[in-house]
Amino acid sequence: MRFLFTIAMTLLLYGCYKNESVITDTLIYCSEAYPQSFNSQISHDISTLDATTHQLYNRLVKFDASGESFIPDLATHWQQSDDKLSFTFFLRKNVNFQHTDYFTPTRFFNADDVIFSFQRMLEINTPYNSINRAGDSYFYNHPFTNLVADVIKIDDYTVKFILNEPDVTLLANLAAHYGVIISKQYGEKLLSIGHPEKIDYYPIGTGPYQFKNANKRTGIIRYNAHPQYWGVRPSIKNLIFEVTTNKTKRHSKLLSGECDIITYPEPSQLDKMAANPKIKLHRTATDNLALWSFNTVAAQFNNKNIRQAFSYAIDQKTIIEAIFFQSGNATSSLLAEQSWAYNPKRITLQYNPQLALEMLKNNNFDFNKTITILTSIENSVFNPNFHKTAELIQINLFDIGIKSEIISLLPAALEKRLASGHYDTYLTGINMPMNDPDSLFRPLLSCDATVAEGNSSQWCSKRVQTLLDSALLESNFIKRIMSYYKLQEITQQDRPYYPIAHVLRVDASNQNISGLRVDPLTGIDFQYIRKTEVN
Amino acid sequence: MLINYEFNEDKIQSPLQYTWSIFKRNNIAIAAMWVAIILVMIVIFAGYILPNTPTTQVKQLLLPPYWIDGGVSDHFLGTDDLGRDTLTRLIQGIQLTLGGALLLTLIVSILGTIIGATAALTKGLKASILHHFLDALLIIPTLLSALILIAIFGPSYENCLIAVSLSLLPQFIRAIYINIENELNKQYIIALRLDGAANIRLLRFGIFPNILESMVSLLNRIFSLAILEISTLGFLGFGTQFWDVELGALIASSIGLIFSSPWLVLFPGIAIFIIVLVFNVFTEGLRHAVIEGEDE
Amino acid sequence: MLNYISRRLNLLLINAFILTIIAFLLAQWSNGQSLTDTNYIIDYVKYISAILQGDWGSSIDNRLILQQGLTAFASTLELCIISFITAALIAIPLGIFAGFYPNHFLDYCIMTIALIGLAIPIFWLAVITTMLPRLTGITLPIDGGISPIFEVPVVSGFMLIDTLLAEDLYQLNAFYDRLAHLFLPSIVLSFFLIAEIIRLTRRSITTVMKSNYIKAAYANGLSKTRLVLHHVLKNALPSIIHQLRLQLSTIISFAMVIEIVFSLPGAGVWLLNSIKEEDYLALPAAVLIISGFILLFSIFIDIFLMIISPLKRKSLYVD
Repeated sequence: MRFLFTIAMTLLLYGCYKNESVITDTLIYCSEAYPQSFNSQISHDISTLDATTHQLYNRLVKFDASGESFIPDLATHWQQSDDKLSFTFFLRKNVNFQHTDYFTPTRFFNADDVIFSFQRMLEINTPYNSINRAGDSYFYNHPFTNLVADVIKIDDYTVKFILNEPDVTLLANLAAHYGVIISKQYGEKLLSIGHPEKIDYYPIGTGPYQFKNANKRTGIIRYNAHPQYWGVRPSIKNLIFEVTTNKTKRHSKLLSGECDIITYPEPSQLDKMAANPKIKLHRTATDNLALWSFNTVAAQFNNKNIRQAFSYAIDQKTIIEAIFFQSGNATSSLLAEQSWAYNPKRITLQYNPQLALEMLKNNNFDFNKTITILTSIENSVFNPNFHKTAELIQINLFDIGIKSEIISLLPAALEKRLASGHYDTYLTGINMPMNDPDSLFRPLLSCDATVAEGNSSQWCSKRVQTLLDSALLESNFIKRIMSYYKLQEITQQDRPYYPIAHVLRVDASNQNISGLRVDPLTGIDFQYIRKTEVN
Repeated sequence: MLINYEFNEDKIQSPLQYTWSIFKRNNIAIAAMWVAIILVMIVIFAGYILPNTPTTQVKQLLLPPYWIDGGVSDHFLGTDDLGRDTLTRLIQGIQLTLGGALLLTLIVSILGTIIGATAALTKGLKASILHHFLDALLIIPTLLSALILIAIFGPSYENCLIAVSLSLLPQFIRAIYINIENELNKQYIIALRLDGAANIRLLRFGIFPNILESMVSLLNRIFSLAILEISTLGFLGFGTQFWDVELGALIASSIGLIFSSPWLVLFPGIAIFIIVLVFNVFTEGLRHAVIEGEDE
Repeated sequence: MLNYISRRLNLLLINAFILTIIAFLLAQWSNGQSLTDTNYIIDYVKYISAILQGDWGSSIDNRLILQQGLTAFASTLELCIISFITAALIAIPLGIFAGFYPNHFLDYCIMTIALIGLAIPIFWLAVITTMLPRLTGITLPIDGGISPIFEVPVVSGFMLIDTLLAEDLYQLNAFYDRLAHLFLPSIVLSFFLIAEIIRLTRRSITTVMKSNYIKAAYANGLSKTRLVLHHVLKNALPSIIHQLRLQLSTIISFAMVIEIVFSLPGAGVWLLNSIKEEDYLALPAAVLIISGFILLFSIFIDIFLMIISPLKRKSLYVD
């Protein structure tokens, strides 16, 4: 009797329970991590880019779909001066900033907002320069601040960028995620009420969606469509980001319709997903790199032959097969193949434990010492499973008689450990925030870059530094490429980093979702997304 | 008291022998006892009976168990995503989980008996303070107290064991205390007292034989909780922090593969289940034997 | 009677005092302060007055810990209550049957189920359950407390009630959605509870059945149903309730683990995240909230039990 009652209740519940997939004006994107902030000017993690760049903001210019040429965004057109030292941008008129319950703009977007947005990066004396900069890395200043001397307002809808040197990368910089335009009026209002820090957490931009609310604890971010958006208005009225850290659960939630789109499914399930006609997979090659860095300051690892020997000891192929499956491409270069500065004359990484052992012996490697493999407990977009990768490396090292210890730490503890410099090797990854090799090499190799910024090998060499700096300032494109070729050769000889794989960005959506755009550099774009009834 | 009905002149058995002879009649309990002995043997001799060295990496990743298509006989329970033998890791896991729980039960029971008995035999303020303190500790859920201790001491397998023992100790002390307290009020104890028996003698010959039954079920309870809690903490990533193969941690590390090779999640769980079940059946049989022995 | 209640209240105060000391030490530790150099009695008094005024401090991300903890724990309680009701409906009849016909074939079956239920690691069962919807094709949520579509304002903390209060926003959809999210977790938790309640009921019933007054009633020719309803159950229930009360902290522990597996927002997820973020101020708050609840609830049950069974009045301690 009671049993029947339970069954009846279950059926009743089942009948009443409606899944999210039937509501076509609401889209749920299940992401991997909560964004650091809601302003891609100061946060460069992929979650922030996904949550902000295309959704909340616009930039002056953006890349077209092919990623090769620039198309107008908030600037309708632009001119380069004859001496190549300045660019003039003509701005779009009648562009509304978002109206939210915490801010109501009283004027349209104009040149003041452009100047306000870029002054935040360029001028140390502006009040917003130092706000919320804790998690900020140096991308904030370089290479943009080196490049631009000043931004001048010509009239309300014309601004001029004055450059230090002739440089072609200005447009690429403006199209990068940190080129977003924020509201000056909002900034002034926040200053007057004494809460300037809110500018990055209660965002106001001109983009197709506007911020509704967000909660880090629950991992849910809600956006509404921006009703006065100047461009093509999205058909989705409610855009929800739901952080689901577990890959398997993301996959299950996609199948059950609780998520419309998910990011980074479990790599081992990729072939199953590809075979499922109900799921669309979006794979995009990225410059994001999974790597293993050698602490070149630590004893023994200051010898480049030892580092080379370690690189011979690692079986990269098995790592790719066991950890990455089809979500990463094995690589022997730091720079991805699609980059314009990629040096095709690379040294391929070989798996040769015999050679490794020989080299170690020739260089008097101390086999009694246990080396540390530091890594993060929490997996990221760079590596589906840091700890298992470390275990594979450990096995490879064990085969040639090297004892190693894996230290997996939570982010807070990891940061402390890295800052202390107390590690031999570190298994991590790095993303390249803009399509410029400098944005990869500088954090990895510059003497100025800290470990937290990316230089986990603590690499500092005069030759590399000179090469980095001169390449950045070089206006001749061919010469610049040559410098980066040279840089790649040096890193392959000196081997401060062992590149493991260039990871693919994988997003999966249900069949009823169309119009998804994923830009590997600036993040996912939901402006043109459509959701239809499931049939 | 007589067991052998054929020869009445057969000698009187000691209580232990007598209990054993009753226990022997229970086939299920005997079977459980043998499995339990085998499990304990596995814990002790794990290092010698591993079918493969744990770091062995075969080029065959994610092999299914032997009896499923694609399995090989070298890896009876298949391999994980790094090509390690599942059976090997399972045995190591049993060693850590069961070994830890046995050790912990031993320590908790010794410490708990000492403290509980001392408290029961002393009166006054000290006993009262201990009492209230235990009361307060008892209402903190074990998982919460384990989490607190691990937050303080840092996560590691040893700290996980310490945390679980500290969270189980109050329960044990309290139960022992109540049992002894109940016995103390009985007349035969008062008689013993009047005979001038010292406390130790009182405990050894007066009280313990009479609380044996509840001791057995108490030990069983503490042991089951220990197994479940160690593996829960391991599962949450606090016990062994991945690099040991505690059973709970094994489950946690294989969750991502639950759809491609579910057995990696199934086997450790079944192992925990069997351990708890077997020890439960065994001690239940033992308890019945003790009760029957007392009844007759 | 009054004597008993005052003794219980006295006990409550002493236990509460010890709990606050534990919480205070934890709070001191999480603030990185050592005890030796300051006069800790003053610190303790300050801490207690802050706690009493509702100022429990705030977490790393500037949220009020008290509010956070209460909301989280309410969600855990919700899971416990639902599972308990389900479990009681299923387990008590089974337990009565098993106790009434000991050594019957069905008794063995029921007790085997109970034994299995107690031996299964609960987190593992939860993990296996998360696979179910995908394997069977049933659409049931396995992650989260409620669909992010619904923005239910927190009023009572009990989301089922809150969703009903927010009926004007979403009609009953949010309520059903919450129920659906609780469905699988509560099944896992009630699995353990069923085993526990069957065991307790059976043991209690067999004890009562052995007693002389039941034999007398039997001899008087009372029908079995009448016997069960009027005599056995009435005498067995207090001991069942008493034993379950002792299990309360275990039940809450298990509920927290299940929440973690199902990512169901609640005390378990809250604590785990706080520890991961090294936000240790949540620990003393959790001690106060969870243990405080167990303490109050225990006293409440004690008084209730005393009203229905006078034998209890003699006992001094929470045992």
